[in-house]
Amino acid sequence: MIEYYLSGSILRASLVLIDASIWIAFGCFIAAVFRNMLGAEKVRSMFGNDGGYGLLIGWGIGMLLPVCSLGVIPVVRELHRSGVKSGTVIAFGLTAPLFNPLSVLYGLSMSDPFAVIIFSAAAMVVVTGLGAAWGKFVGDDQPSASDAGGEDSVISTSGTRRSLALLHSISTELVSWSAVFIAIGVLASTVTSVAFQHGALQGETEPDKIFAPVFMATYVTPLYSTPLAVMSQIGGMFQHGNSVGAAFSLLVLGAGVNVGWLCWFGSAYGVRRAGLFLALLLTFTIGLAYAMDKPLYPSGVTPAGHTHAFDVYTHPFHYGQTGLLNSAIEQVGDHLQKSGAYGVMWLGVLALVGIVFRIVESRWDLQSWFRSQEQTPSKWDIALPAWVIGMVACAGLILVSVLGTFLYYPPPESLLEDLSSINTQCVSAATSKDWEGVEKWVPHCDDLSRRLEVGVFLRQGSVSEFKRAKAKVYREKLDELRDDIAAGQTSRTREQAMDLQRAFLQLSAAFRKKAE
Amino acid sequence: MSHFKLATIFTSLLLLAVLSGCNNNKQPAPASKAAAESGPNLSFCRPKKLSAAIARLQEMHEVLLAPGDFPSPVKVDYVEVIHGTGPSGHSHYYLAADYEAQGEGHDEHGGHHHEDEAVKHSVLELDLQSELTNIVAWLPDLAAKSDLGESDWKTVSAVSKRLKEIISAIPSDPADAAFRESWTARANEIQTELEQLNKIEIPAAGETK
Repeated sequence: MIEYYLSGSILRASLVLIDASIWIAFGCFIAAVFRNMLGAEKVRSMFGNDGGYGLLIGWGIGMLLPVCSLGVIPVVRELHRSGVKSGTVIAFGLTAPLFNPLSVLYGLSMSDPFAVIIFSAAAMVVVTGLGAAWGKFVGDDQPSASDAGGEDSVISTSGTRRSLALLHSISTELVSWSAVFIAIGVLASTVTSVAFQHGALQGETEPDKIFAPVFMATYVTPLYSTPLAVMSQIGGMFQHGNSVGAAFSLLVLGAGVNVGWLCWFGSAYGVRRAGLFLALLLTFTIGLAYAMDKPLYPSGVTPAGHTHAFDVYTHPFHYGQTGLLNSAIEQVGDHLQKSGAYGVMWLGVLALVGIVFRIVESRWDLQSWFRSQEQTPSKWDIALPAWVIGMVACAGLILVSVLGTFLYYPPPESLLEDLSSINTQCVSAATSKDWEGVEKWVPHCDDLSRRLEVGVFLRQGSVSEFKRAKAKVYREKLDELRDDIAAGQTSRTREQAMDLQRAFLQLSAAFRKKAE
Repeated sequence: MSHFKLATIFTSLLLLAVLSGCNNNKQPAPASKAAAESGPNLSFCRPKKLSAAIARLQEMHEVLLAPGDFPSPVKVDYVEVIHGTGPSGHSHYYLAADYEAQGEGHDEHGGHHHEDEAVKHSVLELDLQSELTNIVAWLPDLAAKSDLGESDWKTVSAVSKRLKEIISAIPSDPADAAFRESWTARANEIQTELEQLNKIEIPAAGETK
């Protein structure tokens, strides 16, 4: 029993941290740029505090900056500290984790583009509507930036000191209350997922389940998910004929918020207001989810009856399995290898630097040193105001996220090489009756086949129906293999493995043909 | 007071949204009367090969044009394997013959865990129109599973779309005499589409199961 929950918790918490690490690092960077480069006044001005377009600006900036619902916590803390209106903070804080260039592109490629556009518009209605209602009926009676000491944070020096000040802000964010709220978010997500037995959601999102949108909304609110993972699950829901309303609930509440985010909201605006905010968010989301549930249902799709897409939100192991701790550690290693360890390393290094800064700060006044004007710029130096550098840094971050999109969705030739290698592992595992291996490789193959389609969409603007059909057949073969093994129907496994290999060769031929 | 106003507005919006969403126009319809009762996904009835699907379409077309009684629903023996209980419970469906060919074996393979399982044998009555509709919809998938080239696949896909349009324009109740009359009235059009399918040379080796 203890091993069951301990192993499940270690695995789920580790996966959340691995997935979130790079977005948390981005969030700390953005918050530091807002604080040290732009300053509270410019941040307020940028977010339209003086005009009537704050909500739209918050939504627009949120769409572009690459953060998740954990990574957004340092940013919303900084916006609040800078005195940005609470409605705008809400609009930004909810939008930023929902969309980024990677996830929107994935959604447009893998789901019905019309449905994704409607989902995006509906999400905009939720965040701006909620922000507007909040601004009108609840309003701001929180301390302004000057009260909170946010006005004097901009660094007017240049060169090394400004860079060090920025590094100080980025790293110490990870040893501040932001880290506490992030930890709460990870913990709540972990506890929720291990509290439900493996596969508990497999039949909960079928289109005939009238309460699917409500169930999904309440279940995923405490859970953490990246925008890309959610968009991938939504794509799968459309393909498997799941409830469209549940898909919308998953988008807004699965990617948009988590318990850490809500705890920050409570600490910033009060617990009662946080309760009201959550109630309004659920009302808006569930209302729109039901409004879209039937009209947007994809035609010509036969509901699959169950889905494995949400197994990641439940306990990772079956009760009664043995060797769980080793399996958990092995899966963490596999996930690190698959996702890349650079995010975790960045975050770890930043946290260490942050601790060092905190120790140094306890003895010396670093802030005064950062602001003192002792440096003599050389004749080649061009003195740029901090806000210019800050804006360039933000634009650079957006550019990096766009370039990252191309790296994450490589050209078909390159991706097919990876898929070929992993597919071979999967086929080999099936033919040698290595069931654990099949369970491990099937999701990898599935993921790469989807990225293959997105990569083509990204470079050519469309994916032919023929290619989509080949990719669909390939994924069907993967599903059949996994389902039959899970069901213990293994007498046809060798034949299914050969079918899978044949489907891969057909897929490969279809995608290579266009590439030539 | 402001909170009360806010709550009233949002409750009204929620009710409006729920009401506007509660139309059944695009609710996925059960594919047969039996399906309406037991709800199986009909994928297990899918022909194994494209050639078999085309042959079955041609056969049904000829039956509909021939004089005599309206064809009775086809009885399909199937097995529902129910995995898990409670919220994680879900079903897999197999043709009874396929399931039995696997020996109904439950392979626990070396400690690998399976969910609780229950097996239920049932008979599905698949009426002609449901079978037609499904086979027509499955054509592009079956073609994609074969080694057909892109141009032939496009032909199959286009035929599938046109046949879907024809079927959807026919009164939906298969027991209705109008169904057969409408089918007969468009017989030439349907035959032209079927001929296009029959002309395609399907590579035998590439047809997967």
